[in-house]
Amino acid sequence: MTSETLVSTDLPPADEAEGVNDVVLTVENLQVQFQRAGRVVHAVKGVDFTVRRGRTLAIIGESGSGKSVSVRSLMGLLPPSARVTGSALLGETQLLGLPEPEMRRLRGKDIAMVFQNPATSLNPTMSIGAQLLEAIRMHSRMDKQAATARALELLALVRLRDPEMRLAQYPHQLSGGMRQRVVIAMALASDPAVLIADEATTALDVTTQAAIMELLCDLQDRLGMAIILISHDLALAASYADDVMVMRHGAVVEHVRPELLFDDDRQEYTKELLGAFSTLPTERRAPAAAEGVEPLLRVEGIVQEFVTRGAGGVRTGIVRAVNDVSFELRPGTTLGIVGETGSGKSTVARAVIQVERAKSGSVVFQGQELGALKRRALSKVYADMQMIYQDPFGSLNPRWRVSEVIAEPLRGHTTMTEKARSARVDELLDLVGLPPAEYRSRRPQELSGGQAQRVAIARAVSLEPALIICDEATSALDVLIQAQILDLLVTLQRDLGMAYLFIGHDLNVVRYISDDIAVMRHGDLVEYGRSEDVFTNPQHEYTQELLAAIPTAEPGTRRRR
Amino acid sequence: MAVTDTATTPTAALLTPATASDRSLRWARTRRRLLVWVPGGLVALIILICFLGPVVLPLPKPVGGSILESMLPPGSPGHALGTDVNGNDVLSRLLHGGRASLIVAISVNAIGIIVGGVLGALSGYLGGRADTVIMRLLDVLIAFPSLVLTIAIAQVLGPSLPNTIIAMCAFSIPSIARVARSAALRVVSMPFIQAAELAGTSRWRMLTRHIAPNVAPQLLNFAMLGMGIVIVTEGALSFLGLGIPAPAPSWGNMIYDGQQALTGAPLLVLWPSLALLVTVLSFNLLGENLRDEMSGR
Repeated sequence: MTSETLVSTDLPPADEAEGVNDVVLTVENLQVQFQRAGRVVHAVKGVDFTVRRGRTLAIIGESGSGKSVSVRSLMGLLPPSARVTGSALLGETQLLGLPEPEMRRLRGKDIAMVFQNPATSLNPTMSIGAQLLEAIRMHSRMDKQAATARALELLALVRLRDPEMRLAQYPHQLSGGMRQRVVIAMALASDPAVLIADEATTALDVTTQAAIMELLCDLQDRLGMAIILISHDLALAASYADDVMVMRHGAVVEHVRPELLFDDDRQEYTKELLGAFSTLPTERRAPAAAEGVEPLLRVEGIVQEFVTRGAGGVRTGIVRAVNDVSFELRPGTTLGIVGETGSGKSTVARAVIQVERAKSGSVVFQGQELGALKRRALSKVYADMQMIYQDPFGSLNPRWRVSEVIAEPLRGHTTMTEKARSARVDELLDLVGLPPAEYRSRRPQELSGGQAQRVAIARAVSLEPALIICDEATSALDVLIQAQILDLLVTLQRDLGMAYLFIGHDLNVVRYISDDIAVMRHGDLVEYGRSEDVFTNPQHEYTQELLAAIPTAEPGTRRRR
Repeated sequence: MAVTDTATTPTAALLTPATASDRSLRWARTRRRLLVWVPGGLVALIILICFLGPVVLPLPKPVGGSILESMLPPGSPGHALGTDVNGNDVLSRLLHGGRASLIVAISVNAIGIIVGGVLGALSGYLGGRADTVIMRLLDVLIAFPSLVLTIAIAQVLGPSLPNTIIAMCAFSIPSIARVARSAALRVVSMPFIQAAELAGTSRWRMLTRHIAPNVAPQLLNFAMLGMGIVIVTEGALSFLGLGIPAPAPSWGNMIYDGQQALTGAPLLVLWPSLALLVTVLSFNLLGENLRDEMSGR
């Protein structure tokens, strides 16, 4: 197997130290193949690992690395087109090839799983209590009273406040973090030997992510189950796991203890993953516009409110999404707006480009108040103000070719001839690192996420605008691709002198690209200043909390002991 | 890394043998293509036979048969499928009737897609007052039971082929418009529409180049499913003397005419019913598989 030659075999000599009896799950030479669109895809190419009682194994990789597929194959959760070979022993039971009825009995009882999105793993039409009771009674015969008592116990275990009240509530009444706690409680209902957390904290905010990880570690200490942590975040894994296994293209690249991750003899790929955002490009800073220069964009005291409506369109209240936010953006610089879900950062972006006009306050761009402009006048402004979106595929019309997508602003805002446009498209494709001959006539579904985002960037810079608003522009991409796209943005800024309004939730990313930073929370701007000042000397308590919650890639920093 | 030794693991699993996969893959690809081409070919064949058959084949007229020749069995000289109560050649009526039924079905759905599609897409894209006005007007049409409305319109206009088409558009347009509107709403919420707005794209281009191509597959599928309904409804109208005026044949009125002689000559109902069944099935399959293919599923 190719993996043999790739893997550095610094496996911890744990066998002697801790006794073989601890082993809960042994996986040997696991291989998974899919038949997809007429070809065979080798998704997992021979993976071996063991999971021990009370220990955490982290499986790290980018999308398509086979990390989720490996683990799902153990639970029989793959589509019928998958062919699984190898061996996976849970205690004495061979999991691979286990008939579905037996697998169903096992699932949730001996192996439980927590999925990425707590919003979709709970049934929106059932109360929390009903769902918990169902999970409890599926595997053990308990009368309703006993099961309810157990449900309360579980909710207390995952540290949800007011468990009695929660039982009667529905998923939409809980926050994302609370929902994930409920999902974990359900997974723990029958004391599983192995708990699989598949990107269980990815959809959550940083501070919530930290809290959930702490909870999992604490539960592990108390209940002694083994945890398999599947994630794309190497830093997160390093801080919480006992073993880290890095996968790429279906093979294991690295399998080490987190302490050894920073050693020099690690694989190149692992180093790349670790170093993705650690170095700041120093020469990138444009001859940053001196103080006193007229700002390109001045946002003053904008307020945005939304009316919430209940059944039948009855007004039930007003939510203030943005509360008196002001900032300035100098030409050729980057202002990062950081905040968690619901902080109002994207609402600010939409108010700046006037798709959702602010209730009050002013947005002045290039000396012009935008709030008063009609559609036609605004359209002229857009020649100097473009946007890059989070979902690279959603922002490209699936039926258009790449060349048409990139030429769209040229057609709308200039009087260029067809031929001139076509030449400009080639130029732009070169600029974003996509060879024109190969890419210009592709359609979006023939691109990877990173390539699609490059096309979106080419479209945004086609008119060389003064300002580009990047709304979570790298959040949907894999770590290494994210770093590449950020580098591209930085290079383009240096060469073309655009300003960026960069909106994100990932502090590392925002720090990497921003000159100034604004931190938002619940619609308020709580901190605003030079990027370095904010990161090295945060003034507001919330900023400090945010910074503390970033996984630092230093092994064991968050683990007890 | 440990090399798996099958002897040490109790039931080392080797689930499916690695052979035969190539063949099954090729079959899967062929199958997907067949799913479009077989019903598509059938539809083309039916249209061809109905429109060219009466021209090419030496068939008697579909009307004006002699009562002396009524109810001849299939296989009679000059009448391959026999004759009906009025002595008209069944095969000839079947082909001519198919022509009428197909003209009605295709026109009603084509008009529905064009008018309903534009109204629905406009409604979804423009939103606000335009949306309210367009949709409420169409809701009025939908509020009537479709057959009752069609009968009323046909009654006012009088029986003829064009009037039958107009009457049935009264339910095809609003229902297709509803589908178009919801599809357009979905498209409009995508970021690429906002990006087009920033790119200075005109409203006309927005509708024709961004919204229409992304709404079309869904409309096409819906219209294909509607083909059968239209053909059957036309039959009901003809039965009431409001559709294609007798003695001109259509599949619908052939079924209703044959019904009266069902016990004595069940074949008179069977032929047009079979033709209807095959046609409707082909259209439905084509619509469904075409949509899957277009959306790249």
